[in-house]
Amino acid sequence: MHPSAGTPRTLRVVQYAILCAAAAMILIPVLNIVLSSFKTNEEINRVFTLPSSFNFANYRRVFQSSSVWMNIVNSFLVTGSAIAIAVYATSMAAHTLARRAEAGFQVLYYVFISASMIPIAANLVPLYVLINKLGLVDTRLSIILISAAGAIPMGILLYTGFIKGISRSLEESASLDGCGRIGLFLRIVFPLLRPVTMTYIVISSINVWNDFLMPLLFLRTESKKTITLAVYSYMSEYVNDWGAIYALLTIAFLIPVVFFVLNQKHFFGGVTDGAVKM
Amino acid sequence: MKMTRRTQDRLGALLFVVPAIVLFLSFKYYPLLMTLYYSFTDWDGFSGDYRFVLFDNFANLFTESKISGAFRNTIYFAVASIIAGTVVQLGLALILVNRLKGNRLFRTLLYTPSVISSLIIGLTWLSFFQYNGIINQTLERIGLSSLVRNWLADAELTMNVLVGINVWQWAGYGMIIYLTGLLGIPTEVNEAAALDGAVGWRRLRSITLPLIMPAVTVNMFISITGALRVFELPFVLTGGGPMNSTNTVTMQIYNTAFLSNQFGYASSIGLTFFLFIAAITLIQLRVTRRLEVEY
Repeated sequence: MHPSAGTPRTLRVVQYAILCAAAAMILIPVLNIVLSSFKTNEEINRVFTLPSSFNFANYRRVFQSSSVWMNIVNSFLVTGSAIAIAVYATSMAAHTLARRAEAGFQVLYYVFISASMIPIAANLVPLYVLINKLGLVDTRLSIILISAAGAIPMGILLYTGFIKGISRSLEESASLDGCGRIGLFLRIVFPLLRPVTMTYIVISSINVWNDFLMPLLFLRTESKKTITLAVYSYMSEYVNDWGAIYALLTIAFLIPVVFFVLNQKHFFGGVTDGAVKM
Repeated sequence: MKMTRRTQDRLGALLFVVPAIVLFLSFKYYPLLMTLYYSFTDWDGFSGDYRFVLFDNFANLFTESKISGAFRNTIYFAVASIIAGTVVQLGLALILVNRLKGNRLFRTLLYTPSVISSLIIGLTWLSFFQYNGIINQTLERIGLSSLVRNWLADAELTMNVLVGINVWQWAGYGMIIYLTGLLGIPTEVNEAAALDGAVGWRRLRSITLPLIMPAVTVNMFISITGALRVFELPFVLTGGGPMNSTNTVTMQIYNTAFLSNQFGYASSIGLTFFLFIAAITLIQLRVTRRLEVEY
């Protein structure tokens, strides 16, 4: 037991007070959006009053005047595809990087890891030129490819560390049984990586989902935008319709929060994994 | 030609790495190389031809006050966020490590803002910090109208508002990292410290902090690289104003490239930015690693 468990009562009261204040600081802005999303535009100016009724007019207006459904679908599509590519590419690469002793592969490991120091802003111009040349401007594929590449350093880091920690004996006996390299990986290794795969999926999905700069740069058509970009576009177009903006913000808030609450274990575990392996 | 078994084996291993390498070279290292190339040109991004101007871009960016200002603002944002952030995160972790009742709920609640896009977070706070927003209205109500400020349009103050929002967003995230470090301290160490009468500040400084240095290393790395890239908050809340006081490097690169059509010049800022971030993170990793102790 932690020794300060025997702390005096006054100290504990102070600690609770701080925690409650912190919790209130988190809740107030969030409650403000949710409550405001049910207010009429006239009620919104009176910030200290509750909405007169739970009317969904704001939500109806948002769904009519924007392509929110499509934007949410796009976010799922972009995130899902980017992470699927990243999981496929990094788990296989990490298996080689973790198991081979050759110097070349060791260097490659550092080439992958050190790229986390390249800020996307440094590559803004060439990425724009490249996506233009590939004819991918205003396609979701542009965001998928860039996001998948962006997720690689973390994947290599997590997978290589994890694979180094599991014994080779299983792989060796399977390979004696005449299992090919790819079969060995798919049937024996990949299932063992499940815990780290979950962590990686959960953490990098949030990064891809929340990205704003790349969609801002490449997506033009409303129906192709991701939800984060769509919120910004909507807000620039319907400047005065705060009711609708709050409704859209509530929707944009809800999805990642639900995802987080359902996958808490992996979020907290992922933070710990990263901390151990750096 | 017949391959030896060894070469065959090595090629097979290499094949596993190919998808990651292709993706990576195309969207990370090839662009970085092109950033280097464009940074020596005066390309406007549209015309077919451009001149090589060698180091002119770099000479300009170090003398143009708007750009050095962007670097200054970004550094200020990062330093202030890290100092205030560490105090908040470590403070919360030191409370939660006592396993008070309800600590799981607090953990979840405090972590939540870090899973939301900074753009959405910025918009969430907009209605608080606008001139006729919630904060100023509250101040008027409780008779503190002398404290009413133009939060988002005050060259002295606005950057601190952005720092505050950033610290708010990442408080729970860093808290979890510190908490993991704190929970990893062996019980005997804490008991010995208690027996030796090490309490309060002294115990924090000479026992707890050195033992959680690995957590500090990770947290600093994440906070520094994150804070230096700040874009969404000023983009949506201030547009870089007032008087460029919240103009950050990422915003500057974006504007130089896509509003002023100076692709060459924007690339030179980008390259400088990359070298700057690389230098800072390498120094940070060295320093905090050296402070790590074994137990």
